[in-house]
Amino acid sequence: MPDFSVITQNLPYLLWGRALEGQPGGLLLTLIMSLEAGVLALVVGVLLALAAWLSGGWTRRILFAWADFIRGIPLIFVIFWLYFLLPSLFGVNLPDTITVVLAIAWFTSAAVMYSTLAGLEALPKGQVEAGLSAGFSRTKVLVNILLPQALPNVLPSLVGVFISLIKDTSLAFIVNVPELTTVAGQVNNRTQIYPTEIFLFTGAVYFLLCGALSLTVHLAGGRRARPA
Amino acid sequence: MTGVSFDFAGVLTGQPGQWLLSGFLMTIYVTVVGALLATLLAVLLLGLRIAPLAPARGLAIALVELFRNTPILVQFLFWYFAAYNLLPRSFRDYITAEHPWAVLPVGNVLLAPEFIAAAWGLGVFTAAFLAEELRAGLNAMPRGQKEAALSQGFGHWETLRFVLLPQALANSWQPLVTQYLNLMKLSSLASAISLAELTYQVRQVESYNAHAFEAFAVGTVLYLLLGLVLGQLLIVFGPKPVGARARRRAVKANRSATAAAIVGASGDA
Amino acid sequence: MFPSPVPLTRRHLLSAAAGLFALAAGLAPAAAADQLADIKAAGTLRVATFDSNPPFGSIDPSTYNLVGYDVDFAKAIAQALGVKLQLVSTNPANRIPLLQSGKVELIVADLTITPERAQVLDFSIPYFETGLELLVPASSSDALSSFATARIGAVKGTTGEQALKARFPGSRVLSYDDIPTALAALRNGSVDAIAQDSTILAGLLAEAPDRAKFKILPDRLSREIIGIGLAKGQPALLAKVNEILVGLEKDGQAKAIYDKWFGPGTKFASPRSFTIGVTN
Repeated sequence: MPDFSVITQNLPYLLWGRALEGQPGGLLLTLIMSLEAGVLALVVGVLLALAAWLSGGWTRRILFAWADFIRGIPLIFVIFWLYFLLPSLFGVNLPDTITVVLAIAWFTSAAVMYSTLAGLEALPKGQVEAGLSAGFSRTKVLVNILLPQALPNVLPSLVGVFISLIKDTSLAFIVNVPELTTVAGQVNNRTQIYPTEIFLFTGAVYFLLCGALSLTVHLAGGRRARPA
Repeated sequence: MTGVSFDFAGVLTGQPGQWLLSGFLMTIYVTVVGALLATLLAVLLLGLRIAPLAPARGLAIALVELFRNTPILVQFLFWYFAAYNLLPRSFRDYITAEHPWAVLPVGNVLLAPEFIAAAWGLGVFTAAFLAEELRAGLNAMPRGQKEAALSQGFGHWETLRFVLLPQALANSWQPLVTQYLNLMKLSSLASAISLAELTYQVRQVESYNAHAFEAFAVGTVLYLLLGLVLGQLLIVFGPKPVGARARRRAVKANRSATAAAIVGASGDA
Repeated sequence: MFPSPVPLTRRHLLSAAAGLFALAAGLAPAAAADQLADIKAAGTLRVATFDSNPPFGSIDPSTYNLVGYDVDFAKAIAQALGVKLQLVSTNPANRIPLLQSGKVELIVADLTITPERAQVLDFSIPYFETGLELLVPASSSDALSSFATARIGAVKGTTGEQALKARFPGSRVLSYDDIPTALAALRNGSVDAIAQDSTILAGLLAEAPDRAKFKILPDRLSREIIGIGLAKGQPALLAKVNEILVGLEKDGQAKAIYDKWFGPGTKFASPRSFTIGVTN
């Protein structure tokens, strides 16, 4: 028989970790990491898409190679590279949480790049020519005319990317960064006999978070947006 | 690592080399079994999703949303530590008993709780994504086809199997391939439930002789290579849209969806 | 243009791989000249310790602070150095990489001294002693030999994993990220036994609500001498840590920490069979 008292007893820890001591954890840290990584991935991804749109030939090929490389290996490897190997190679030592945020942002920026680029290239070609003949530079056409149209169009798929990113923060578990999955693992390790209750609760929290986002897009975007 | 000297022989030969080979094969095994399971479950989900019965559709939507919106790592932990425990003890004892016939070359064992949980977890998670891709492929088809098939006396499942599915597969093959490749990459997380696949073995080599950089580099290259080969195989042997009109339709259908597919696909964990 | 679902062309792959190695070859690891001086300058000592392995390191259920035998030693060392302590919680699999990547200066996490590990890190003098044992279901046989071909759970990056492979080549060793996770697998019947230090097993059982269903086999697989791990080539830090450990033994702090976690009346009560600084 499920006994959810293990959840109620550990609820503050699962929800915000040691936030009162200045060390946010649990769901709160999941949210913080998601937002940080999300903003970073959005900015970098859009810039990459703009660069890919503006450039041809080798630059574009290198951008795609970069994005494909990072998407071609499991995220867990990206985290390992940054977490264990970056410090030993470069001597750079970032806080654990930041390292994971950077890994996830780097990984996700490739997806943002693809989404944004698809949005840009789906726009009618005539607009570019019209803009150019009106005397705008290619960059101006891109930033002032195309991007403002493309971003709303790809918003649903960007929210899809963000939902993936939220789920990806669970991989911080691998390097003991105390976000939701990690603290759930800690509570499970300590109480030992309630894995069903603990993992059902953890799954439910992610589901509510991601499902709500997905539903919002669905309602706001109507039929055009595929649930992401 | 102290000092920059690389010893790739230290991870590619002897016991470490053996481990990496065995892990690489295990990644292939769990990917293949997981992908087959995912395909079967996706067809089932799709059938429910377009069924004439509202409760069936509701069930399909609920399952798809549930599996898409929770991290696969949490799903793995749930299947392995919680759900597996609910199976009858006699069944679990059978699984863990010694089965010499089930031991593959290099000592990989597929009839084991960690393999079953991993393949099942990958299958269920990916099925939810495959079902949505297939539905997008179906939506790109003319509406009349389903009605025509039904009016000719085909039942719901026959219509799905013989009329709708082949076209849905052809229409959405590209995003589907992305999902299969994603399944392969996500199998790396099954190392958390003790499946001795490539990531698990890379870490084992690292803790055995501390060749962290070399082990991670070899693992990274093997995942890239596997993705490359698997992707090419699926594209070459996969269905192709029939005729120019179908291809245009497929492209159109994929256009809005591709971005979402690429991302939805590659990032989900 | 839409991206191909095939993630890479061959050229991409080669250039990526080439880049990877160029990157690695061009950069030398930032080897600190004298970590002891760096620690004093930074005013902070970073120590890797467990977060799920009582009594060595675990999260206190009421305060959510890290507590344990290793945590107390880390505190005592930081205090003796006159610097602040920063605990980096980890698990057995990650502790050595944490040290190697320079994220911590010390590993105080029930780390067994072994020749293989001594090739990549240095050890302090021992500050604890234990032995590798098997935890099995209460209904199992008491003989170690009956587990020679069993499925045995171990923990990634521990000596148990290696010791089992050497002692029972016919067994199937399944490694988990952490010790309670391995016990969860034993509970499920996914493994027939788990191998771990006797003290950790005792700690695990003491916390297990269903402890009556398990037992620890009386025979040891091996004797485990536990030391503090630190980076190679740091003679000043090594000497200082050893000096502090001997000092803690002399002023009775080491024994006090032992008694707090393993003394009579504690959950893990067992007699202290060693004295720090005295080889036996």
